[in-house]
Amino acid sequence: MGLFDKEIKELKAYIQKKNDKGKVRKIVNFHHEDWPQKGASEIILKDDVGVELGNPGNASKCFFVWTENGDVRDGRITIIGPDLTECKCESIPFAQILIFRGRFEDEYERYRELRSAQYNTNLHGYMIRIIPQRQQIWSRISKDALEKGFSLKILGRYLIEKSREMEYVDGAEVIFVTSSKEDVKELNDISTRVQRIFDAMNKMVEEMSLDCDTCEYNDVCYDVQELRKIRERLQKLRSEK
Amino acid sequence: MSGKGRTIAVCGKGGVGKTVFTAIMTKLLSSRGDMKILVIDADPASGLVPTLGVKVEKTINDIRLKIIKSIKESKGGDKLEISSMLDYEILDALAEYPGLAVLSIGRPEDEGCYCRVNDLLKDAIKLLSKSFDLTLIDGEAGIEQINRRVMMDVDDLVIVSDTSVKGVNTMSTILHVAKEGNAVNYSRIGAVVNKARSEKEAKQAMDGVSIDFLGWIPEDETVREYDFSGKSLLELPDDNQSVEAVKKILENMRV
Ligand SMILES: Nc1ncnc2c1ncn2[C@@H]1O[C@H](COP(=O)(O)OP(=O)(O)O)[C@@H](O)[C@H]1O
Ligand SMILES: [Mg+2]
Repeated sequence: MGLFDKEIKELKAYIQKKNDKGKVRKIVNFHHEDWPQKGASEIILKDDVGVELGNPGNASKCFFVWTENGDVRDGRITIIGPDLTECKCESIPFAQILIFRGRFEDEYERYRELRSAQYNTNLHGYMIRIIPQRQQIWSRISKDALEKGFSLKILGRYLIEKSREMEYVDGAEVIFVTSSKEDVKELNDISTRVQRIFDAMNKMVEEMSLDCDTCEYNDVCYDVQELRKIRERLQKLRSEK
Repeated sequence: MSGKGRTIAVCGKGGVGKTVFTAIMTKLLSSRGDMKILVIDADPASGLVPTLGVKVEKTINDIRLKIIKSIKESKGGDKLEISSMLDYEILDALAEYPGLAVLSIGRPEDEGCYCRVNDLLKDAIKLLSKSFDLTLIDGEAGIEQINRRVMMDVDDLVIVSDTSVKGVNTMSTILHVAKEGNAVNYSRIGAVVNKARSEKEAKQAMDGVSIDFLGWIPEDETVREYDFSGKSLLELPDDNQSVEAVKKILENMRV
């Protein structure tokens, strides 16, 4: 059993459901010359925006999950809805989900590293603001970048390659949703549970008390066997000290 | 220009023309076309926002209160979460125009000691300003306030005065505080005399103050009229005498 087995299964079911409606494209082994990196940090002001994704007022979702031996097709980019060059709007709803395969024994540290890694998207003409805890991502792609062909495929490949640089990640896939606000919001149940699992895990590590009766996360710990294992491990560690 | 991310803070006694000077600099720099300018309204009493004729919907103080609230409800998270939230909210608070963004600090409200939030806010503002070519800060009289609420260090500190003794006395006081080094850090400091009748008068007014003279701005009927009728100073004609004067000041500052 893994921490996110249930959520990964539900994500696959979600993709299948959208696939039946003909909204899904799956790209494996996408090749493209490297997108230029940006120099100093660069602001993209409204006037220069080609397209904005998941901005305030639009639907936005961003999270990651992992599995040790679950089904992850390394390099796969799944796009539900139009890619950037096919959008007519200046603002589109957006979800970005990463699924990693690898070894995540030190879950707390892995979470923090993967969370930080989300920020390191050093791509020319691409700017992001993320609030991890709220799972919000707001990105802007400049007119210039859009004209030069920046796409979710390029972003996806970059995100996958970046995460593969972590020595404990040996496979990664990414899912983007741009089809509609409703399609993004449909991910709420899954994303909320993912965040609660991480929150519960963080709480166990950061707080000394492991008292389940008073813990606001006892429901997820009850559901997720893996969380209980982390708890037992911590308890053992602390009693040895 | 001394590279990307240069920051110019304007201070001086109330009413001497800090806001007018900042607004005209904004007009000149944002219309160059090759620069992105961040303008920070750091004087809650100032009126830079109406002087520029821009629309601000959220201030830094609103953000501060929001973050403090979520920390109180223990939804703040760790340092990375809080700084991420600040970066996000600050982008949302920017009033954006071609080549120009305006950020308003807002009126401070005492919320007890949340130094950590204030420090993270200052970090976030600094980080933001690094992504612009130039940042202008329209400050209050005192420079302590810039240090406390906007940024710990700037590149240029410009003290504005009119030709009155009171204005020049305030300039000396600010210069003194700045040189003591306990307020904001700066690399260059200089003076601008506003509402003068001639260069001679401007220099005379500053007699005895040992500070670099960056230039002067004439007493200008058009500026007064624009301000009186609430017209944006960004729309001042290019050949207006104050615009010409500020252009010279910018040249002197090598902006
Ligand atoms: N060069 C000028 N010529 C005419 N009026 C001016 C000039 N500079 C400023 N003023 C007027 O002086 C008043 C105070 O200017 P302001 O820029 O708001 O001062 P501060 O920001 O230092 O408090 C305003 O009514 C403004 O219109
Ligand atoms: Mg003012």
